[in-house]
Amino acid sequence: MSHFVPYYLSLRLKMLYRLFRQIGILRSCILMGIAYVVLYFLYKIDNQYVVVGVFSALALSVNQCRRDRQFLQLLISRPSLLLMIEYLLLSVPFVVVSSLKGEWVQVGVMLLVVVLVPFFKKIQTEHHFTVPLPFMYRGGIDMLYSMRLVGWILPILIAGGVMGCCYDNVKIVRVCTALYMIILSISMCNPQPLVRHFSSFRQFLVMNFKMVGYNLPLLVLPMVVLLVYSENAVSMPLCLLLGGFLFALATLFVRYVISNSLFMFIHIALFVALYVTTVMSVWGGILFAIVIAIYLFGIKIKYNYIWKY
Amino acid sequence: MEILKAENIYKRFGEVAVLDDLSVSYEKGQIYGLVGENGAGKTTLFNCMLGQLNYDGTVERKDDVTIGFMLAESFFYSLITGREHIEFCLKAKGCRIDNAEIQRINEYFELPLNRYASGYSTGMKKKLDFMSLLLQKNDLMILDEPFNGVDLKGVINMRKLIREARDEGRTVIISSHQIASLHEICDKIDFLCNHKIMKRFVDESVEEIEQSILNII
Repeated sequence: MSHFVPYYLSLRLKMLYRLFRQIGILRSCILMGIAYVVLYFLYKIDNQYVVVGVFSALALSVNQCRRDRQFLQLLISRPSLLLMIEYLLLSVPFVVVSSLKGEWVQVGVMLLVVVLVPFFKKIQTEHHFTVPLPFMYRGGIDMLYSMRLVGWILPILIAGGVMGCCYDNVKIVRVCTALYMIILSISMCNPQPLVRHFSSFRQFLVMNFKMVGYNLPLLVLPMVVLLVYSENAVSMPLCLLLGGFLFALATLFVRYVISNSLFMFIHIALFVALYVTTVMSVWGGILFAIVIAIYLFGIKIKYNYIWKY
Repeated sequence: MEILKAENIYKRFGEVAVLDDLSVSYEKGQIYGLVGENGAGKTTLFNCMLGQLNYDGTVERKDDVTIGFMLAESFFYSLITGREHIEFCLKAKGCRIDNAEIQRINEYFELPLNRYASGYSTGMKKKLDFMSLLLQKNDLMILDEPFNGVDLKGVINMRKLIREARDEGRTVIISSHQIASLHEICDKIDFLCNHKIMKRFVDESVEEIEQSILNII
């Protein structure tokens, strides 16, 4: 095992180098710039546990997404040790940030996360039991997929919204609504976009707009009722709903244009930031509309060879 | 000489019973086939034998017996070449990297080993996976649907190399739906149905095996 660890790490480094070479110097620099800005913000934030939270979320999501678990188990006796070393390397920038701030307890917590995460089993998102969803738009499989993937979170957020209403805390209701829209939209990023099922670009458009237009208001209705009740106004619920509609469309179309998961992740992260920061501004809507238009233009060009016949 | 023996294996996924009091044994230097309907539990049986899944029952094998498993769906790291993948698997298993042997086996498959493995076609991925398993020189090789997506020449060469492995004293277990292919290379074929091995075919012809399977189902 000891002789294999350096080999494994050098191979992973080689993969990283090839990834940067493939995406080009400019985009690599942009990515590193984004990483630097994120770390700088983490350094500036006063709350001591934000760095730990961000690192834990990152490590857990990497652990959840990795597909090499069985492959490694078949080859080596203790793959968790290998993963531990990998997560330890991943933690280095976060540990440096916390060390610079003198938060040694948080450094210890992060090291604990590094040791524990490899033992976490992958959460099964697919179950044998089929959740019936008769009220959803028929034919729109992306939202069926989304509901079956994260549908269980939505009642929790609704419950959070109800609590906010009960205690007259509008902020909780707003946060729950925004989270509701974000989770619903992001989970629509079905990893296997089905283009060949649509006979034309027009049908592709009609079906996707209908799917989001029908399902989203239906699913968001409980949150809208809670918002109207707590705010005594319709402007905020309307903005959240319209912004959410555009946000959902943008996340729905992005995977048809971008196949690289890293870039897709960056795009969606930017959408989340855009949605959260500009939900009450008309600029948010305009920016989302421009992004959707660019995506649709890209989709039309990219898949023209399928649809032109 | 028995190389692996599974006795009274029970495996359930929630309410669904997949293996129920299943017993099977494998001897050294033989090629075994495993057939069964979709969802019969072939891969689950392999995973139990390898200790990848928890189960009730016993799986006996000597400590020094090495096992290699070829998954039905191959996994490859992105941005890693075919040669690097083979070297990775060999290093992980603690085997020596023998370039001449890699070259010899690749003469059968003619894979572009300097290209990224994730960009290979389905059949090429299968061949690469098979190659890396073969080079590990395990005492027991378990191949889950090895012929799926592989071209005719590839299948012929795979069969040839499997026979070679058997002649070297290694044991091979192959799961497949292609009875004719299995019949050609396997010494024994097990039929998995109703959560257990219903029958082991040894000398029967393909027609007899097919008829027997239809009668059992």
